[in-house]
Amino acid sequence: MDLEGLLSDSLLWRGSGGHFGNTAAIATGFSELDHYLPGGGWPLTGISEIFIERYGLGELSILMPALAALSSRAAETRRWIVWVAPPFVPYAPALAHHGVDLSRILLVHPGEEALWAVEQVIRSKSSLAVLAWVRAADMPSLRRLQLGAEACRCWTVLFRPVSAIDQSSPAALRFRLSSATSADPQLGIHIQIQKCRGRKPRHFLL
Amino acid sequence: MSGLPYPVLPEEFPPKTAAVPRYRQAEALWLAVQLRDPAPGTALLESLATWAQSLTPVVVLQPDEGLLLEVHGSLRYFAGLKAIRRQLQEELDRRGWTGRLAAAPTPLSASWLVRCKSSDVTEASALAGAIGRLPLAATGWPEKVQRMLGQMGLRSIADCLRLPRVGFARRVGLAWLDELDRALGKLPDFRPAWRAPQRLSRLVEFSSETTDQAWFAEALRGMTGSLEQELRQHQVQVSSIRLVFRHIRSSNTLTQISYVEPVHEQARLLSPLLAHIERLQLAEPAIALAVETSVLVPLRTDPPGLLLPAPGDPLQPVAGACSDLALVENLRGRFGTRSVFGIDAVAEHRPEYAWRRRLNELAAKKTGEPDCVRDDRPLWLLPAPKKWVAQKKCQTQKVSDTFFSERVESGWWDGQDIRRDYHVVTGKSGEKLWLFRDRLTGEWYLHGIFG
Repeated sequence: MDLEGLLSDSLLWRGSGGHFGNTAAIATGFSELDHYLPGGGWPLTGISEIFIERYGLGELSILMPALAALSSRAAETRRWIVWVAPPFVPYAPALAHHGVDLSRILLVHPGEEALWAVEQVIRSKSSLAVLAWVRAADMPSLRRLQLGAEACRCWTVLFRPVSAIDQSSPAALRFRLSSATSADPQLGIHIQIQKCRGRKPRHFLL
Repeated sequence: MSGLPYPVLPEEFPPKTAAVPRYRQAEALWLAVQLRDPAPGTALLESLATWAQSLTPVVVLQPDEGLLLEVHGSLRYFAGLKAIRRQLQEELDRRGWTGRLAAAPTPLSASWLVRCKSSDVTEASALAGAIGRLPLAATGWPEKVQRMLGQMGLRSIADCLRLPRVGFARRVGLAWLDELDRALGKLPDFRPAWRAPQRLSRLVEFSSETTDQAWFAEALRGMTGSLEQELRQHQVQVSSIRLVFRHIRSSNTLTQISYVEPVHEQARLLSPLLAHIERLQLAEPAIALAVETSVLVPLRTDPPGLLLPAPGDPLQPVAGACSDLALVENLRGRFGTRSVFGIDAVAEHRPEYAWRRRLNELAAKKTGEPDCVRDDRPLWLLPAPKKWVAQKKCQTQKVSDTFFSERVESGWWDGQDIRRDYHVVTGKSGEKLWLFRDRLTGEWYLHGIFG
């Protein structure tokens, strides 16, 4: 294997310089966040974990620009944006307002088997993104999802309770959402990045 | 002879005065197949008929004997009768069956010829001579009729044809005169073509009662494989499949698996079935498993795209991707049809009716009407409005009773009348909520969350 090949492998991380292979990413729609994240957006290969204390902190709003872009691509190639075990009804008129193509949204209510459903979605290779609300997930199952998402190129976002934030995880990106206490600049969302491959943890106020 | 019916017939038969429908025989060539070994049961004949439909659309089942194929329309396509005979013979050899073939312009004469190992008759003019040489036994007429004709000194069909028609009809019976006319093509002989069954089924019996999923999975794999073959042969697809688990002591367990679009490939057929049986809890072990298809629909396939994907695009489909609808079927096989669905926006003032589930038309490209996009709606809607208790309301910032973001009054026409004042409220931990005050009762409800 030549050096170029090694350097472009996403599994190899060079500590300095910030080069991080050819990370596939989709723009978040927030320039500050795009600048920070390797590849210039949400990492499309591998899983991202979002920790939230309660619903309504802007956990969907920060994903909307990326979802809108992905859903139009999904409509071209007939792939899905899958929502696994959403806690409430994703409200169609509001999604349409954010530019999401509703025809490519698929909702799955899998009962207790959310992780099985997520893996099926990833391995089918027929989805561009999967958003899943999972309560409990152990390291081996997260690892399975991570490997699957890397191989099948599916943006996998797991919403998890804050209590799970101290668990170790193979996710490419992990962050916690809380509401901004001070005067809100735009959305009033406070992002505490706990882990990001190739970057140091940071705070953002959107 | 006194026991025979004595039809009242005019001396001249058919009478010259009566209007006799003149039947002009269309050009036809019937190929009779007589199955000698194994015994031609209905199941065997149907399986051969299924195959023979690749030669001609008109295949007639002759119970306990064989098949009749109308091949005139296929002569040119298959380059002559010889080639068709050869294909049939090869298929019989491949199955290890023995049979005889004979061709004639009418179906009845073909089946008479094949019983006597006669050679083919392709010209209508040669027909009378050819069947005239056949012994009476070839007709397959009842024993009683044949014995009577034998006692009259008739040995061959030609002997019958030489008799005066009126006398023959009177002494032997009108039905047998008509048979002769049909064989010669003087009377029409309509034969309904055999139609392949509208549903297919397969059955696997187990050597003992079992609840083992591995056995079921193996049985399903085999059955869907053979189903795919037959579906391809008929160029048809299925839209749903019924699984029937047979039990010894109690009645069958039935489950229905529906596909989002009609399918025929084994992989598409199988994976929802496997996902389903993984979760299946049988009350009793099964001794057999059957698969029954729904009504078959004609095969439709989409042509593959011509454009190659742009290189280096991370959003391009990955190699080996399964169809988007296959994923839906797979998930539905495990979680049930109602647990996997799409959504759509509806132009409607009442928030809970402004969206709907899409259970069926998941392959549709465009959805939603442009006027149902709302910029002031939350991303999360509660499945049903939840009562917002006063003590909880204190946790939120002050809600003013007079200022509201939106008033919705609608639905008087269908009994789901609502009168609500909607407010956007920020909770203590910063979450943005969508509350409304019911103007009929004055109570507060949580209806959405700005996620």
